[in-house]
Amino acid sequence: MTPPMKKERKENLLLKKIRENRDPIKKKNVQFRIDTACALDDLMQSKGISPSDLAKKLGKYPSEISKWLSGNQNFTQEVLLDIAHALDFELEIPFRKRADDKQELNLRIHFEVTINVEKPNEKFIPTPVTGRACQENHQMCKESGVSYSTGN
Amino acid sequence: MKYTLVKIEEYSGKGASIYSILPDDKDETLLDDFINLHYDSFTEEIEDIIDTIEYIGFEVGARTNIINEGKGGLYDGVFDVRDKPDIQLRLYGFKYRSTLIILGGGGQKTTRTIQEDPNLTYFQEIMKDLSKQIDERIAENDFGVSEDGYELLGNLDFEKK
Repeated sequence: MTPPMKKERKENLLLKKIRENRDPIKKKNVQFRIDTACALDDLMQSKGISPSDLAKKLGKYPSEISKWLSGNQNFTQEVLLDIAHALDFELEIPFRKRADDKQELNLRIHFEVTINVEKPNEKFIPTPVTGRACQENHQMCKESGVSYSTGN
Repeated sequence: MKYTLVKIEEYSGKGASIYSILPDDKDETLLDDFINLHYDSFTEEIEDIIDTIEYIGFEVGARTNIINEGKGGLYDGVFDVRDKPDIQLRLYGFKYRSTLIILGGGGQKTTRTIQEDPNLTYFQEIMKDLSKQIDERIAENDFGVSEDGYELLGNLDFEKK
């Protein structure tokens, strides 16, 4: 079967403008919501847990779990901890340096967050957190690494 | 309406290829129309939807958890990309495997059911009809997908009667 003849679509200038001017933090938020939903979906599948099962464990409607899995949910930390607990996992939120951090030198604090859900050890796992604040001439914003632990 | 399926390069990547519907008498796709028509009224929502499509295309692919496939009485493979529940913008699409998405048109859901809204029903019907026609063409060997799963092959011209 041969590739089809291409019919021309006019370039959408509005779309081009939207993509060029999009706030990178808002864009990252959308991506983060989707990544979180996919991480939860992967975890549920690996444990053979359906949305109905999780809904029962959390006292929610299955439709709410479906919404969480759709990538449209801005999760609170409390909800994420509830989910992790219901699935017998723990929640870890490491802060990572941006891959392109050389390009960002301003007063805003930039960070990436990934959520890994890990199997529990005997104690609550100390959550490693590293952060980066970017302003070379600002004492408070020098590169730093922070870690803390919460006893349980 | 006669139309052709065209690939939207700026959304397509390692996750999935994104196609849309280009009517014969227009030079912008139904997806472009959807963005152009609703951007002023629903700026943030449209930007969120664009980011979502882009991330599906570039990274995660057409995962079933993200796409509301087959829900609400939709035909197999037909889905809607929706934004926040209180806004309820609907953009209809058709998913073929996890690497191909065809996006049509959509709009704001203002009625209790989709069936009560002629605009949304129209866009939903286009995708249902396309889904059926693709099934028929696959059976007739007149439509297919490249080996890597990212390109539509064969006759991409369709007609919605």
